[in-house]
Amino acid sequence: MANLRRNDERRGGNSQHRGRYNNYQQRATREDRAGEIETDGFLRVSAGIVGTCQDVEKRYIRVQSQPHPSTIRPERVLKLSLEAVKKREADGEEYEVCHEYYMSICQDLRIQQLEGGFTVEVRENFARCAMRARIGDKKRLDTKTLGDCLIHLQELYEKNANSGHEVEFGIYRLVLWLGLSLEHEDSLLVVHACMASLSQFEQHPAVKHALEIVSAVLTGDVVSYFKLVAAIPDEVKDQRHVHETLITPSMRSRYYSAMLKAYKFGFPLVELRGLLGCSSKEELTGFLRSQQAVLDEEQGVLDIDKSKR
Amino acid sequence: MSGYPREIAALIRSNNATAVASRLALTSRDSNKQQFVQYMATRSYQGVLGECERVMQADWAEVVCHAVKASLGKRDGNLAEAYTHQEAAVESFMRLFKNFNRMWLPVLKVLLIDLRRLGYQADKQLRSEGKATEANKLEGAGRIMRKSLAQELRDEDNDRDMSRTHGALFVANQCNKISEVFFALNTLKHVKSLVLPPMLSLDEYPTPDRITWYFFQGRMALMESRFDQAETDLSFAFNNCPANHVTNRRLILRYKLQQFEKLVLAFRNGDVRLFDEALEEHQDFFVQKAIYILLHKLKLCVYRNLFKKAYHVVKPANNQIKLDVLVCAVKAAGAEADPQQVECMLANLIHQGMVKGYIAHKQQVVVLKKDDPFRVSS
Repeated sequence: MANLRRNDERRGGNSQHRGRYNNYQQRATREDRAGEIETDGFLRVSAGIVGTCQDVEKRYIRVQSQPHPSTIRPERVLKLSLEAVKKREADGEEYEVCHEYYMSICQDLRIQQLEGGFTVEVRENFARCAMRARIGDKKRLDTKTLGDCLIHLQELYEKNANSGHEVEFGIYRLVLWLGLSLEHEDSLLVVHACMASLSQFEQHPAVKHALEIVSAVLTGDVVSYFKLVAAIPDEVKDQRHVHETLITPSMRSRYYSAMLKAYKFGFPLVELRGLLGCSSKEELTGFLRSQQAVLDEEQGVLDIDKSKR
Repeated sequence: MSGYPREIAALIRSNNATAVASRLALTSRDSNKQQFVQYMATRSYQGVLGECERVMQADWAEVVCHAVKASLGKRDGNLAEAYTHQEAAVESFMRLFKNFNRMWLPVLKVLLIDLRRLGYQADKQLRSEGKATEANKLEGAGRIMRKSLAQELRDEDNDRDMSRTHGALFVANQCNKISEVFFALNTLKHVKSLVLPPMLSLDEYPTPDRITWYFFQGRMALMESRFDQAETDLSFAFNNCPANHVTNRRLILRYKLQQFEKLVLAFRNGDVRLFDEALEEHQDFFVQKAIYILLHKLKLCVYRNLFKKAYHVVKPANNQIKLDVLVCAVKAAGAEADPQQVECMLANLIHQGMVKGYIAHKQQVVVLKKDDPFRVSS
């Protein structure tokens, strides 16, 4: 008996006494850190924290430390928030504003670790909003936001079977990275990954269509490409945005360069219009002017020889 | 000076086939042999032959002398002559071998390998000297080997165990190796005619020979698009090849990649439809290995090959081809042929330098460069 006590002492004090103190300590910490889980080593988010904030719309401030429940909106409020931002966009609100509101909704969802069907809905709407938007004079696509959403969606689909539009957004992912790969070849690896995750749906007509687009883009086949774009299935029509901003301009200018090298004499403008996927004569002439092409208006041809720089 | 022949004679008497074989080999560094070779360089053939006959049987003497003469020829760089002597050595040995059993196979093996190698080298030398018409040594070697193979297969004198036929597979493989050189010259019929009548079941042959045999069979099957057969044969070869024979394993693997077989075939023939099929069939595999996209870029090359074929068929005098012709070619390959799309592919090919020329849209022709417009720039 005496020996044991001495052991306790060696461990630093009367264990009985210490135990009580330890219990107290643990309890205290338990209260403070109600189910805290560390994520990314950056932010400790509380599991199961339920927000109490009732503000439907909240500006986006990136949360740096443990947020107080009163600053977080619970799911039922967020549902109203989603409707609010959707209405804003429909009413013509600027993308930057909508983007901010969406970000704040997503943050609240993430802090409360909500990863269910509603989160899927939010992310899908956010992605659509990003696709429809154009930024700046050059009318660029917000590829970063879109990419983020699509990545999150991929994870969410894994946790929630049949919750959203998995095939649709899988295709958007594929098309987005296909577009990005035109500038950055290493994105091609991601394209592979997208194809791999779509392989379970390969019988779906929209998927087949998308794969044909991949094929056309890779081989530089503008004829097939524009035909395919004109025939995008309705259920995945939002991919038009990605084509419009990322892929079509690239295909067009690449093929134009190829033509300058491969042809001689003249090429009729009438045919050129369809070939380069221009919806109107103005679009064609606008493009050609931007490439400093030389036209023979009288004959209605593009003068290849003179246009070669 | 007759140390070498005496040594061989002693080995023959004691039936030491392997030792004899190693001494007869062209690569032998035996000092006695070197001396004898030197000696023979200074004497007449008949003279030396006579000396040898004093210590061994006449046929053996011929084998030895011819083998030595072959070494001499090789040493002096006169490969054609070396080959002739090696051939004579083999024929002399075959006369002896008729009465032997499988114990003496090592000698045959060594002689045949040297024959094949010499034949190849002699041809190469002759060609480089501009004497291409005489460069038929390898073919001759092939003929002899087939003769010896026939002889082996007809061994009626010995029991199964001791039968000379044990060497049959080996000889057959040597023939295959010869044919390998001829793959380009389209004398594959020789390989095909190497069917082994089932005197011994294939399992009874030594494993190394079997591996080589299946290797060649597999490649033959590949050539003939018998992909399942090719897969089986090459798998056998690969699985039975000991792990430490890295070079050989690699060689087998090169042909074994089943998924590429169809692709390669389509690629070579410019068969667009087959290429598409092959790509789709093994799509999951390619995607998994992250090369699907790379292979897709190859598709353009498939078009190039197709157009090249069309060009060689048409052989236009003024180096112009009507675009119609190319569209027909694509149709003939079984793919959908939209004229606009074909023209588009052609433009891309020219842009990437795979085809040299230009398109005149109004006339709907492509004007190709005079020399070798389908050259692949390295």
